[in-house]
Amino acid sequence: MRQTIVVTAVCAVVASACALYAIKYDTGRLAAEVSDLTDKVAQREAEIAVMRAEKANLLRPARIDRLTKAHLTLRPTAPRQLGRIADLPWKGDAPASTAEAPPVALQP
Amino acid sequence: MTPGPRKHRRRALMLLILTALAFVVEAGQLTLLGLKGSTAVRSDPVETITRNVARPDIVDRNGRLLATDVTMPSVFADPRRVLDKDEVAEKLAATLPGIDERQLLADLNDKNRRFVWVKRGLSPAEAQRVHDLGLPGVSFRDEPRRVYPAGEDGGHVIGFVDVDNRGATGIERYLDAEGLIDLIDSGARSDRPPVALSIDIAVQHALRSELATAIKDFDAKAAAGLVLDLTTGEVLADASLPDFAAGDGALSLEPERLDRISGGTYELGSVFKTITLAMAQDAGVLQPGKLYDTSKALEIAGDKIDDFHATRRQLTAEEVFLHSSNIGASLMALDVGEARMRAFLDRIGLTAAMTTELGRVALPQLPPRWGKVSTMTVSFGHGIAVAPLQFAAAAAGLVTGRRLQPTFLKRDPAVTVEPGRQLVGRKTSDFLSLLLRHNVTYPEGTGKRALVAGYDVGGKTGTADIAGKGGYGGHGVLSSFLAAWPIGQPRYLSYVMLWAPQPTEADRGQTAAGLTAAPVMSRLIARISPQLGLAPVYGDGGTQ
Repeated sequence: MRQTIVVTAVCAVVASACALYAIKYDTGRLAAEVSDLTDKVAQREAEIAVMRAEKANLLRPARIDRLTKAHLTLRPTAPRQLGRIADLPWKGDAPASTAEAPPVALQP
Repeated sequence: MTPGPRKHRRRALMLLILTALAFVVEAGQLTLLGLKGSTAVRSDPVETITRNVARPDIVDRNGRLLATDVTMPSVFADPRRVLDKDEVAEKLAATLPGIDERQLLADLNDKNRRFVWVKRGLSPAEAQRVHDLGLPGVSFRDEPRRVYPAGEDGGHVIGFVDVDNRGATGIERYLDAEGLIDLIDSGARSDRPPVALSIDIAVQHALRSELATAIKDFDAKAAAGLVLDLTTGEVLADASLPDFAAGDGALSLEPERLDRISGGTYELGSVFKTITLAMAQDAGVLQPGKLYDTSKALEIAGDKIDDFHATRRQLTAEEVFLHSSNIGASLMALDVGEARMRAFLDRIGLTAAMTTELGRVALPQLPPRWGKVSTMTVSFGHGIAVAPLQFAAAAAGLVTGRRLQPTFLKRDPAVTVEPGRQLVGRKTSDFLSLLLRHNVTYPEGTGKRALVAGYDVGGKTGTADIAGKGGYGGHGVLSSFLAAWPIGQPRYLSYVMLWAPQPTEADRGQTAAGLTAAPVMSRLIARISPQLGLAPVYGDGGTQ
């Protein structure tokens, strides 16, 4: 009877020791994985920083200005291209004569 | 029963307990190890030798990136672990451009050193080539390096860093001074929030490109300009050509690339009459109907004061401003008197040292001995030299009536800006605004070419002889234009300057500011106002 208890206890101790070892090795493996991921995150962050700098460099006004002048007919917005809704000539506000003026022929 | 077996049994039990205890201790130790991990000490010899500086990003007022850290490998050598020093020095010098082979060899032969930088901030391709050499004792270390994506725009404001990533000038130096940098052990990035400047990089570019065009059009030696937000004091753009791209420390040392906006003082000429007229109005010496006799040049103590655009008649105070009469301004200054004039200049902040985030603005140079002559010359901007930034801030104060402290950092729009100390009364600032507006809209005004349809621009020209060796003359003129708009409720103020613009065919041989600086201002305002979200107003919406 007593022998059975002793054997069981010894077995339990050995088993728990094995389980602990397993957990410890698992922890080590996970820790390595964490540091690996941290490194990767830092690396990605560094790459993102480079790409943000690259993007800002490509979008810098001086470059856009130069490219626009070289390839497009677009120019910076002129003040006369801006207006307010309230400044639009509404039908109701206009005197009768202009409201009924014949439509202007469109240029072909 | 014999005592034997009992004794044996007790021994066995004790053994069992001891063994169990040992297991418990071991299990406990294992648990601790599992929880805490290895306690072994790791060491990195490099860490104690050098540390890096991580800096926060710099962005413009709309969040566009102007300066950031990127991680780049730097290569270093440990002389004790280098086997063949000659070979290493030769190979590295052949692989990396810009390395002084003899200096490197001397460093490697220095017995006291265990750490020698070979080159810092390598490109990935360069790093790979060095790696491929497979030299023992030569290693890499990741370091943050500062890059400036905005290129040529805003160099003077942003500044640059030294080889250790520490700020040397501009806002970069301000970051160091304010403790916004972190010492780090690797190539890690700063986790501080980005520092937002008051500069709008689009407006900055518009200003710089208009100035560059002006230099080309008028074959000028240099040009500079700034744009101020009159509500907050934020500097929206600040350029001085020739300049240098942010980060280009070597180029910044050339004297002609000085930041003329805050790093130099100049006699600004007639544009100073803006201040004289406001002063005369503030002092109450401008009685209605009072006339100033400009029929002949003033002679005092051997000096002669004459008009550039001579009219040779009696002028009202407004006409003195519109014709930019030196004689009239001098007479006005004499009415105010030396003591009150000096007090007024003190009050509007033109005589004391001025400081911004970029550091101390160049000190104003006042007449060494005030007297009747200096009172008269200062009234039209001679005998007093101030930094353009300081002048613009004083003019802004007079236009709005309240003191304005220029800042290069973005003001939080959620925080209401405390209005500055009252400088002059409403009457004076309205009077000045009207004068500035008339100078642009009236046929006799000198600022007619600054007119912009849709924006009520008010402004004043300044044409000053540049002093050089042997006094004035022969050094060209400094043409400038000061403008505020929309003048009914001024929101922005700008000041542009051209050094020694040459006469062009189109200008019929004239170099007066009205023909050079004024059109530059006109183009600038038409270009940046839409960018700043200012809607044009036509017809009755404006003043006069």
